[in-house]
Amino acid sequence: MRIVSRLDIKNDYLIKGLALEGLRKLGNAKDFAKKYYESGIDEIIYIDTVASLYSREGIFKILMETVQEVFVPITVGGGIRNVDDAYKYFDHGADKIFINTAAVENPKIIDKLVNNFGSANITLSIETIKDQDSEAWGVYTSNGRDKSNRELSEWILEATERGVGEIFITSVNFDGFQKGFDIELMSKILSISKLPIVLSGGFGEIKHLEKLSQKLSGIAIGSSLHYEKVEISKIKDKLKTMNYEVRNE
Amino acid sequence: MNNIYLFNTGISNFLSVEYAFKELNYQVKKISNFEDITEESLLVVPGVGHFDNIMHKLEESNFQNIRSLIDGKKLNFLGICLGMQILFDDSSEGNKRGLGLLEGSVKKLTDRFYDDEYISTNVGWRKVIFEQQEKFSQFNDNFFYFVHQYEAVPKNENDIIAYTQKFNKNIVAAVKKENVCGIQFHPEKSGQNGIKFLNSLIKGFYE
Repeated sequence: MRIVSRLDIKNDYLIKGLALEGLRKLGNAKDFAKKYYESGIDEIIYIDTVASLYSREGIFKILMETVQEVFVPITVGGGIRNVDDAYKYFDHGADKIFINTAAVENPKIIDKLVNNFGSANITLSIETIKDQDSEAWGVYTSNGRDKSNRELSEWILEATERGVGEIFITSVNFDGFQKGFDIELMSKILSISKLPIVLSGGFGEIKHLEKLSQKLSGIAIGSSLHYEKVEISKIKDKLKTMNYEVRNE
Repeated sequence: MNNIYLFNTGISNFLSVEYAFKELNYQVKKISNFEDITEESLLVVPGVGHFDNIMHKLEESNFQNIRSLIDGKKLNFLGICLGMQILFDDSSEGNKRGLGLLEGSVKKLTDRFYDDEYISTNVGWRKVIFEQQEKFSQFNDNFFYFVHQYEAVPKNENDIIAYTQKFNKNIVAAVKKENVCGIQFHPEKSGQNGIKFLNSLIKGFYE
């Protein structure tokens, strides 16, 4: 089980809000990443929340500073529209990239990314919300703002067919609330996909780990690390008692 | 050791590897072609990408110029991840021939890991077992970061120096034969311990 710290970024800053709406500036993103690295984090995910709207200079700068001091994998995305955008992220130090909006709009971009960078380095990011009336899981883009016409199962099968290497899935309505993971979503996605899954949204305290499945590849944590509610070492200790294979240095 | 050359494939986590060497205070020379390589040096080929792409890049960059140096053991070769996979004869990921510096093939993980033991991408931190490797005994059973969908299947078991396990099956983690070495995982992304391992690896070439 990997513990991934999720850093949502706006310009140079780490931000965090509720349901993917970034409301608060918390500080320099690199400083947070470095602190987590020194505390034993397994992976970092940088999510540029404004790249698709403005420029990427902010995230490039953060990325280049981070790779000098943080020697765990860094997955980056936000606003990747084509192969050239992805090249630029790798050039600035990304180890893996993720894609969401552009793939939902034009799935063929997945094939192109896979042909250039190999499947293992392409992560599909999914933002999902369960519709209360139809009970269908909707696929959202642009940080949970826009509902697409895709349904979760079909979308995962198509993206898998096209070659994404892993899935990073966020329960939009659980994000930031620290009330626990969306266990219903976890069960749903594990029944759909055999790809490695990283579950994001809702972690707030150690007892929330108890409902996790052994089949998950990782969990992503934002707020509760940013606000120092939990320590990475405590998370790992707990997972070890639950017989997860957890890295310690 | 003369120089450490870091080959820029144009599609890799090149910066991460460069900074890992910097962390160890090694001066590296970044190259994008194989002209003016001096003997008694170390060539590092990192890899993220697609087998055919990186092979194409090597051909385009005149790898044939230094082939005899490697064959004559006058140049050490370290390949990381895809940089390891290209050491073999061929890969089911692509159509191009590999470098053939080690005998064997590269195959999709799903050839051996399917149904209840399905693994498409082996991603995450895995325990690595260094069997009867005095130089690396301090790293035995340590965790390193892997991310790959293809695995090396060496013809000669003696070329395997480390492996990791899933579902009680071994996955090759590192290979070495004289001056040629390949690492499937990412030492540059495996924390301070990974950096230390990288150092042992570099020193290991010159002992």
